[in-house]
Amino acid sequence: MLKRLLVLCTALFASFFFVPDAQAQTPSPQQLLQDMSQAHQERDFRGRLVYVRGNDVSTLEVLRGRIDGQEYERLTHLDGELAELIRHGEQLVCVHADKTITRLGGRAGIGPFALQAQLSTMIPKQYRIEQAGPDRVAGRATWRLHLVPQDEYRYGYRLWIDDDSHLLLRSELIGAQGQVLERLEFISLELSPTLTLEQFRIPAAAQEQAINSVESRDHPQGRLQFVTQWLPEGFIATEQDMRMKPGGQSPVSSRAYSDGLAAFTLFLERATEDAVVQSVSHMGPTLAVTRQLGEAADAWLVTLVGEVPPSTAERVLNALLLEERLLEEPLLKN
Amino acid sequence: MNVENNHEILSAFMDSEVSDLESRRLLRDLPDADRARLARWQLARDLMQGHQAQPVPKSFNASLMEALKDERSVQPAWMHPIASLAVAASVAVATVIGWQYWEYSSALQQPALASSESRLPRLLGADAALVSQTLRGQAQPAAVQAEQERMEVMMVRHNEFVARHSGQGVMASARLVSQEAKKGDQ
Repeated sequence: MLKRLLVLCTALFASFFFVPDAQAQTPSPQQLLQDMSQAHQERDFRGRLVYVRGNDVSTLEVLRGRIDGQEYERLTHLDGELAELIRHGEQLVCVHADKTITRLGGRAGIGPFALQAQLSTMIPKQYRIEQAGPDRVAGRATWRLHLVPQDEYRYGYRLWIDDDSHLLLRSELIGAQGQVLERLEFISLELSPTLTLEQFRIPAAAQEQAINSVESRDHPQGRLQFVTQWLPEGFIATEQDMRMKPGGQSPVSSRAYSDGLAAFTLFLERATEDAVVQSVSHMGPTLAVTRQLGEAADAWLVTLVGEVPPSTAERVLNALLLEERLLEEPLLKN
Repeated sequence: MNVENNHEILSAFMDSEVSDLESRRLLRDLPDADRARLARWQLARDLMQGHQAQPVPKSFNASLMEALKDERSVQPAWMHPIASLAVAASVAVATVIGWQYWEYSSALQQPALASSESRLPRLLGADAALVSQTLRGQAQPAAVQAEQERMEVMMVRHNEFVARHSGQGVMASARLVSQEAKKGDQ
């Protein structure tokens, strides 16, 4: 009798706090990730988020919906200066605090926590996935997953997935000592809201900038290619291009690498006379390390920007070569 | 010790996973290359833990390279069409270590020298004094501003790649929007 009463009290306590019944219906981590990926593609929602990075806290609003078959997303910084990302289908626009805008080509996918399809079917083997039980976020019942890195070359992740909608409601990036490097979390969520095109309107800009693509075959710099003699296991080159900076005189080559979760990008540009030739900076978990290669007319700046531990950036840069590529060779080569 | 072992030992040292006795032995016997690597890791960790820092102007680097000209004779040559991106190790190390002392004073709105005594003196030795002296009075706000603008463009591009190819999703977008808003606040 006492045991039954205890079970009943436990059940009532759990239902009061909307925490899912862990013992009765614990979904597998893989199922949770698949449901999450599908939910992101199908769900319309509006919500408010808190983004925490060190001592910086930002409040954001996100709108996501499909209108007349086209996807629209808007992520707005609510406190301090206004800054936004707005997506209309394949077109992404960054609205800067100074009222200028930058148009970015291609789909950049600002949809909340848009884990890629590959992640929903296959977690990179460099991570161990753990089901950490039920929890609550924004007043909603969630399941918590831990993605634990298997080596010291990448950070870990903690994910909170909504038990009802399967949307990802909270995400944390975890350092080697278990510290939270950054956190993004819904504080309110409205499912299936009424959304109109007006809510995704791109504001009139004082000035429009563009980070224009440069055809690599049309520019001498396009012949130079990164050759990575060492990469953390699982990292592959995912994309490469060459862009002209706003107001810039020479292009910047870039090449992105990812293991499916962690990512860094290598940039190559001409070193100017007054350029800073060595620098290390960071913004939250994002590290940027610049080194100069060569001198005088052959001076180049190589910069690694990414959410990887400093020792990873160090090893990648130490093992980097620059090679003159023949035009008929493929652009991406590890 | 092979390279992998060295990395593991240094990593353990960074994580405070070795005893005081082992730490002293490690620092005593550490090869120059690993000593430099450890210094860079410590610097990066300092940065990650919130010590703001600003880039070292090229004029500083030129002075430093002059001071270290004897060591430059051993740096890898710049060869076409294939060349190593690894700059002369000693120069790079000393320059980046210089960052230890090149912290940013927001009140003065110019780079300022930070207290150096508590950081890495056992690793830097005489080089620390050299770097510190070379840095003194080298404030270059224009260079710092140019460096920040350069980084902002790269952050936009990086986050665009991240959103497209990694599983970080809106985290990358949140970084970008937050960065833009904070920039506007300054």
